Amino acid sequence: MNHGPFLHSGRTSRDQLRWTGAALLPLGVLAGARFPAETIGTLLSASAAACLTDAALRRGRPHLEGALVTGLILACMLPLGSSWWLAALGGGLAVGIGKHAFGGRRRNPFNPAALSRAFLMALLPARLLSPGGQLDGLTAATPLAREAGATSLSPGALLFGPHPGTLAEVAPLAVLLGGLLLIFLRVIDWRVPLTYLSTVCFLSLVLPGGARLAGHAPWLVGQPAVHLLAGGTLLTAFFLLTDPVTSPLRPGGRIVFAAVAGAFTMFVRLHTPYPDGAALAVLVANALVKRIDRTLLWTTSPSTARPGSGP
Amino acid sequence: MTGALLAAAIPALARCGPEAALGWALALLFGAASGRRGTLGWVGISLGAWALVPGLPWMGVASSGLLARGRRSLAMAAWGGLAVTVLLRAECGGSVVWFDAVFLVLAARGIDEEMARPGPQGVLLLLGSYPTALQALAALALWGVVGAVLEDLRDEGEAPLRGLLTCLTLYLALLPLHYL
Repeated sequence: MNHGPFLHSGRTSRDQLRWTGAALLPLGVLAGARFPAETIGTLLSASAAACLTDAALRRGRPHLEGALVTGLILACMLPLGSSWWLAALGGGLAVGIGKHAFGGRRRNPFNPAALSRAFLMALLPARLLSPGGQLDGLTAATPLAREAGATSLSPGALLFGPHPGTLAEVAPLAVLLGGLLLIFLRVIDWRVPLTYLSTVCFLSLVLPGGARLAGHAPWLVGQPAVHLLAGGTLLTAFFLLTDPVTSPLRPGGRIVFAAVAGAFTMFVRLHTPYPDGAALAVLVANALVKRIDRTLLWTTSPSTARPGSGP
Repeated sequence: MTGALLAAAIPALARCGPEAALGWALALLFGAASGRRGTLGWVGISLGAWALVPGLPWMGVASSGLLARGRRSLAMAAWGGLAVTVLLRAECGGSVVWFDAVFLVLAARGIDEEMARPGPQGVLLLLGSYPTALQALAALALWGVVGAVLEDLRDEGEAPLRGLLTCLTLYLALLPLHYL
């Protein structure tokens, strides 16, 4: 850790959260234009439940920006056509367990939206992997799902075509636009998305497909464009891994952190029956943050005492 | 107590394969080694329940150790975790025994010193409960990573609830590895 004095950027954490929320606006507009009822319902349910849970648990001192952004990001990770109550349950879980059960704001080791998604997958897998609604005749969790992939999806189809998936997968260019805006405004560290996307791209080229994949969707092997555009890759790169509370302090640590997440994402996609491991990869990487910080702190500043070794 | 233990062991022995036999022996060994009253009873209960649900002896080991240390609430939490796992297993299929065993032991003992890293006893447990060497090695590596995370929590004096929630979250995050 560097010692003071420090320069303040003049930007508070609330400002950062507001910019993060604003960066999701293009996605909301584009997805809403194509699937208005589903988009609005999912976004409203998740964010309202997150805010209400925060207000209830903080007893009149809610941190609405944080809860709202958490709810919005979670909504982007849910399949289009999800029930409103599923989104509301997810929003409540994200704030209730993801934040408050771990000790409250800024004490959560895991990204609340990713944690909520993992809990929902465990609690209601059928609902999350095969949502009830029918969109353009196709219903699946993601284009990466084996059952959805009788034939390969082209990058063009993933960008503009009607395909099943999560809210973020409906308009990947909007997610990219929002992410680039956050980098331009220096709200997030560019190293994190760059490392994560590079790792996904590299491993999709070199990692062989597992035995389970071969019989179902061999076209997922050696297709970096598909892996970058489908699933939660872009949302994870720009909105989940860049959460300042659950990512390492140092730039070097953030690179390691993002590389771990990228490797786990591709491992899950190619070697397990799970269609997309992006949210789970975020949790695995989050768990290693303290260890990464400690290791880098020790190796780069040997004169610095390890935490807990002082008087 | 010995009679109850033997009575409970009968159904377990009836379904006994090599893996079950090793688990049974290790559970008894741990129970005897802890040397506290009530421990054998817990092992007996575990063995009896094992006749219905595979993988339970590890829970017996974990909870008996906790009870011996007077940490009854954590032992109860571990059994609660087991109930969740049984539900998850019903949802996910039957191939997760090797995996949830590690996590439930970690959930029960993770913030204790002995089980944060895979020591000789942990290695024995793992090798005995895993059907393939690859899974055992993967679990060992995993235990190392998760143990390191839990060590960090312990060093910072985190509350048990936080440790248990961390275990549960990691369990869910690593769920896809069941299908290796």
